Formats: sequence, structure tokens, C-alpha cells
Amino acid sequence: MSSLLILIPISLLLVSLAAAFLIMAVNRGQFDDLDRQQGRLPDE
Amino acid sequence: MNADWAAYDEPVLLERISQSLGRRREVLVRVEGLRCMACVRRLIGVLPQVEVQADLVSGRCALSWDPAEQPLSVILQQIEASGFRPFVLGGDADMGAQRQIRRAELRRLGVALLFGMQVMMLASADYFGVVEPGFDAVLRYAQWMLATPVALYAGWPFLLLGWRGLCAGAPTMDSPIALAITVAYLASALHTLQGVGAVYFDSVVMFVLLLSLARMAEQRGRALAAQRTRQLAATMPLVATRETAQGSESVPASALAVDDVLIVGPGAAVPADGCLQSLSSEFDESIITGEAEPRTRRQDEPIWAGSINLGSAAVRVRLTAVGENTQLHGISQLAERALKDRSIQQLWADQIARYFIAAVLALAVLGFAWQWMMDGAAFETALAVLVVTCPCALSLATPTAVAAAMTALARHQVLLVRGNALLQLHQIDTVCLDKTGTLTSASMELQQLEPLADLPGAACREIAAALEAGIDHPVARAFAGEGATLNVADRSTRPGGGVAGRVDGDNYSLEPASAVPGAGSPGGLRYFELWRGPQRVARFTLREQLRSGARVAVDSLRKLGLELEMLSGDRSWAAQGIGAALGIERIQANLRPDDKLARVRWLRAQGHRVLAVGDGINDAPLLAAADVSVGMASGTALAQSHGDAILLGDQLTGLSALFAVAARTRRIVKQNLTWALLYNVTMVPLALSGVLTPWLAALGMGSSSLLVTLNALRLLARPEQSQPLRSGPEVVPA
Repeated sequence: MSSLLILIPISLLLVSLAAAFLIMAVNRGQFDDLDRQQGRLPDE
Repeated sequence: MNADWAAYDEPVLLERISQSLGRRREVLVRVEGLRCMACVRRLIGVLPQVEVQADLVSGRCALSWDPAEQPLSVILQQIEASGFRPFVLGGDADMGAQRQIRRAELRRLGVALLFGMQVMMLASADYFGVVEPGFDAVLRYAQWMLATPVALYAGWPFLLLGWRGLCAGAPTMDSPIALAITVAYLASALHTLQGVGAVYFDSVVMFVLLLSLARMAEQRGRALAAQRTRQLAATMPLVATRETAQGSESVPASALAVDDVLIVGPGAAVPADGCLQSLSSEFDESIITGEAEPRTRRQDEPIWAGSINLGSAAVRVRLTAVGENTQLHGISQLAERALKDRSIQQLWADQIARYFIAAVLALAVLGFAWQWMMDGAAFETALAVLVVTCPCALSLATPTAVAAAMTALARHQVLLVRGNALLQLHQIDTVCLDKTGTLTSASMELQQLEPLADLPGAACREIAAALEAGIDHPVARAFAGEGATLNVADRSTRPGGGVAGRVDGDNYSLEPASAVPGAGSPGGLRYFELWRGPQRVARFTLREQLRSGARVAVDSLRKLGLELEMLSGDRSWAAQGIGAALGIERIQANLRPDDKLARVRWLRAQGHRVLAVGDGINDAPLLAAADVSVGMASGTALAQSHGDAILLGDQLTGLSALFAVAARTRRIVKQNLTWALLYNVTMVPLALSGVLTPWLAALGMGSSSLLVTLNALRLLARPEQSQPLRSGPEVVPA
């Protein structure tokens, strides 16, 4: 069970990274308008 | 029509319509003609220095530009030159704020979800007792670290509002939530440091996550409705053309004064109240009266702000009232006042919250004292009581059901604005329906065509359609779709609804005619004659069209045992005709907006519970005064803001869906509340006696919340009955 001593800090780091990416994406407006994308043509 | 955009560069106006983004400014523009991504690409192409964010659904664009590089007028001119028509949406500074709020909500939800999942994973080791001795502390510290952003960042709105309420001595529904989060978090942190006792980080994160989800769903529905309301802003012009000694100048509408003379072009809206100086013209006054039929105004007759000049020539209007003194402003004020009558119910909810929190605190103190005297684990008991009485399931019971109902209603093209309306719907015993625009659609239908001369019927129809082409009028819409191949020269409109023009070298005119002698009651019928020079060549009979599904909807409402009443601003015979067609016996005609308001107030004073269905600004007071109100999406935008629910599909059948979903929602809310209350009532004695440890209480609370949420999600299941949602257009029998 001592592997937890490494795995828990790693999971802490990963989840913080994931949260940081999500916050970045939200701030850049990726989720502002979820209705527009369906109107896009395939070549765009 | 509006080639002069220079007034938009006026600093005062610019300040009002746009917001500052550092060096750049952002303005919201509704662009007519923006239909697909290719259009958006073209728009971006003609505006190289402007950042364009387009929303195709509403046709709105957020333009951000640098005022130092190019003025707004140039940008608007470029948009117009590329074939679109821009409408600057004014007074909309909270648009950016709305977006910021939505983003913050998303960030909070994301953090709660990501970190919460990790906490639950670590906590599950505790649930199943698989932790080796010694690793306990590691897991707890890890949980603490992971739960901290959830409690303090994601749960911040609850903490802030809840504690603010507590400190002000007026606890809200957020107060027990804030208290539970705070106590559970602090106790867990303390126990982690001490290395003894249970931790409740799992309850904290689940609590915050579930509540954030429910609240976001509620918020989104409200934001959608507000967005539609803003379209009203597009109809009120921000810039007007004022007549001067030298000719004319373009001025901001806010700078207008009484006795100014304005020039209002064809298709343009009048920015203030005034009286007509030109001979005559037709005006669309639907924003004031709600009735779609245009009205002919003659010289010296009053013109209301917001009415649209439907004539073919520009008219001169001398202003009599501007800004807050206009009729339009008065009616919106009336609506707002009526809306305020309803806030009493909110007070009630807060009162209950106050008693509830007092009871919870008393119980916790009682448990603490009891166990202290019995030499039991006093703090554990108090905490178990707080966690177990935590109104989690109780406070989730209603919002989750309402949120699920919103989604279910969206499938029926019904937008729910005020969630509580669903729970009040079962009390309704009377339905007040507006006529024009609600029971009838905004266009007329061609019912009969009699050729009176050598010209065949099809040709007559084509010529009539060509004459009416491009005119926005219920009569013109009856002919729409034909006559695209014919060219009309010298087209002019005549007072009273006539049109004249030259087709293939012949002079034609389409004139309104009176009823044929002996034709009987004119229920919903209108007659028009086509003339070629002095010769009458055809006679058209048009009839007012019932909105599709109106009869199905009215029948289903009657089946529910509701009293139906029609309130109309229209003349009595027109209302009678529609009422007879739908089988509505109680008809009130010739009503002004305040008459309708008085009627609803009277009905309520008699002890009736009233549902109002309407559209148009004149119905806004009516909608606000009723217990529950429903607006039509095709109506004037302001009415929608006062509807508790909005029918988006232009189909009245949404009304029966609303009642059906409301009944199911009520059933589920009842089940949820019963469960939550029973759970709390049975668990409190257990917690008080010290049998229930805090972590068991938290587990119970979590599963109780989950049960309530899953029960609410049953509303999303497709309803079993398949009623006819669509039916062909119905016509009024003559």
C-alpha cells in the first residue's frame, strides 16, 4: 500500500492540471456558445 | 434606408451602447440577413480590423473594435454596404456581465466535479474499510487538500450568501447550506489534524456539486429568456432624423426634445410619441396594442413611440412626448408595478428558512447537551445532527425536479422562466386568453377568389401578390409566395389598406371592399377587390386564421376542467367570431391594457386562480398580474419577459404539455419532499441518541440526495401518451 505515497501526490498534480486546463478553456470562451458549432460546415 | 450612421459616433451615445474593453470597445449588433456560417465568414471578411463574435441563433454579433482606428459609423456602413442590415442594440451593458457570470459558474462546477471525484475515490476506501493502519492519515490529508478548493471556491456563492443572511439576522435557504458546509469542513479539518474522529469531506463535495448543478440548470433557463427579451431593443431606434432649417440631420434618440419634427422613413420605427404632420400613412402599432393589424393614421393624429411606418413614403412627425413620458414607457412601467405584487411568496420562503434553521440549531445544541450530560461523544453527536438535518435532500427536492421539468418542457418547445410557476399550475381554475397573436396567427388566409371579368383567377392572384409583395401586413401575407415573376412599376399604397401599381402596362389597384349585401355575419372575414383602371376584375375574401393547434389546445384545457375566458382589444364582432369557432363562451372585447389588468385582478379577488396567455406589450400587465402566465415567442419581446413560461414553437399545444409536465413535476416534488422529511425525521432521533456516527449520517445524506435527484430525472423520460402535437391551420367558419 506504500505505492499510495507516490500515487496520491501524482493524482493531486493531475487533477490540478485538469482543472487548470478547464479554467483556461472556459476563460477563452470555448463554452460560451454551444449552439453555434452545429451550424458549421464540414470544411471549416 | 439609414445611410447616415454618423450619430453613433457621438461620445455620449457610444458610452451608452458599447462597453470598454481596455483600448477597444464592444458593441452588440443584431445583423439582419445573417443566416449561415458562410454569411459570418463574409461579415468577418469585410471587417478586417474588427473582432466579430456571431451568434446565428439570435442573429446577434458582438463587435469589438478600436475607436482610434475607425469609428463605429464606418463599421456599420461597411456592414450595410455588404448587404446586411445592422441594428445596434442599446442599453445592453449587462451582456458582458452575463457572460462573466456564466463562465464563473462553469469554472466552479468544473472544479467541484474534478476535485469532488477524487475525494469520493479516497473516501470510498473508508466506506469499505480497506485502509491499512497508518495510511488513514495520508488519505485524510489528501482528502482535505482536494476538498478545500471545492468548499472554498466552488461553494463560495453558497457560503457568501448563506453567511451574509445569517449575519444580517435574516437566514435564507442558503444559510443552512453554508452552515453545514462550514461546520462539516472545519470539523473534518480538526479531526484530520488530531488524527481521531471521522471526516466528512465526501459530504461537503457531493453537497456543493449537486447544488451547483441544480442551480446552474435554473440559471440557464432564465438567461435564455432574458436573451429573447433583448430583441425588443432592436425595434426601438437609437438614432432619429430631425428636420432642420437647412434640411435634415441625424441625432441620437436621447437628444430629442418635444416639438422637434422628425422624418420617419418607410419601415422605420418612431422613437418618441408625436403627431403626424404628413397627410396619412399606415403604422404597425403592435408593440403598443398587440393587435397585428396596421392602423391608418391621418394628419394631426397621435403616433406612439415604437410604431413602425408601413407606408411607402417618409412621414413627418412632430414630437409631443419623449423618453420616459412616452406611452410605451408607461406601459412597461405598468407591467413592472404589477410584477412587484408577487414578491410576497418569496418572503414566505425566507420565513420558513428562518424557522428551519432555528430548529436545526436548537436540535444540535440539544444533542450536544444531552450527550454531554450522558458523558457521550457530545461533539460527534452535534455534528451528526447538523449533517443529518442538513436540508440537502430537502433543498434539492424541488430544484432538481424543476430543472428536469425545464428540459422535458424544452422538448415540447416550452421555455420555463420561473420554476415555481410549475408548482402553482395545479391551483389554476381560470385561463384568460388574448385573441390576436395568441389564438389567431398574424397572417390572414385567402379563402375565396371570384374573377369578375375576362382575367382568369390565377392571373388575378398573381397580380395581387405582385402588388402586395414586400409589404409586411397580415393581408399581404395572405398572398405571399406568388407573383414573383411579375414586375410592378409606380407602386404606391393608399390610405385604408389599398395598393396600386402598373403591371404589364396596365394600371391595377387592390382596394378593400365592404361585405356583399346579404352575406351575413362578417365573422373574421375581410373583402378586397382588384381593379384594372376603372374596371373591377376580381374579388378576394380573406379570413383571419386561427393559430395552428388552437382548437386542440383549447379543447384540452377545457378537458382539464378549466374555465376559459377570451380577453381582446379587438372589436366585439371579431372576438365573437373567433370565440364561436373555438367554443369559448366568456368573451370580453374592446379592452385596453389596463382593462385587462383590472379584469384579472377582479377574477383573483373573486378567489379564482388565473393563468394568462398572451403576447404584445399590452399583455405584459395582464401576464404579470396573473398567478401564472404564458407568453408567445412570436409576440413582442417584452411580453416574453413577463411570461412564467414561453411557447417557442408558435404552437398553443405547448399549453397542454405544460399542464401535463406540471402535474408530473408536482407528483415527483411531493415524493421527494416526503422522502426527505421522513428521512430527516427518522434519522434525527438516531443522531441525537449517538447511535448514528457522523460518517454514517453523511453516507445516508449522500444517498438520500442521490435518490431525490434520480427520482427527479424520471421527468426526462418520454411521456407515454402521444397526443397530436401538430394539426393543420384551422379557419373560422363564416
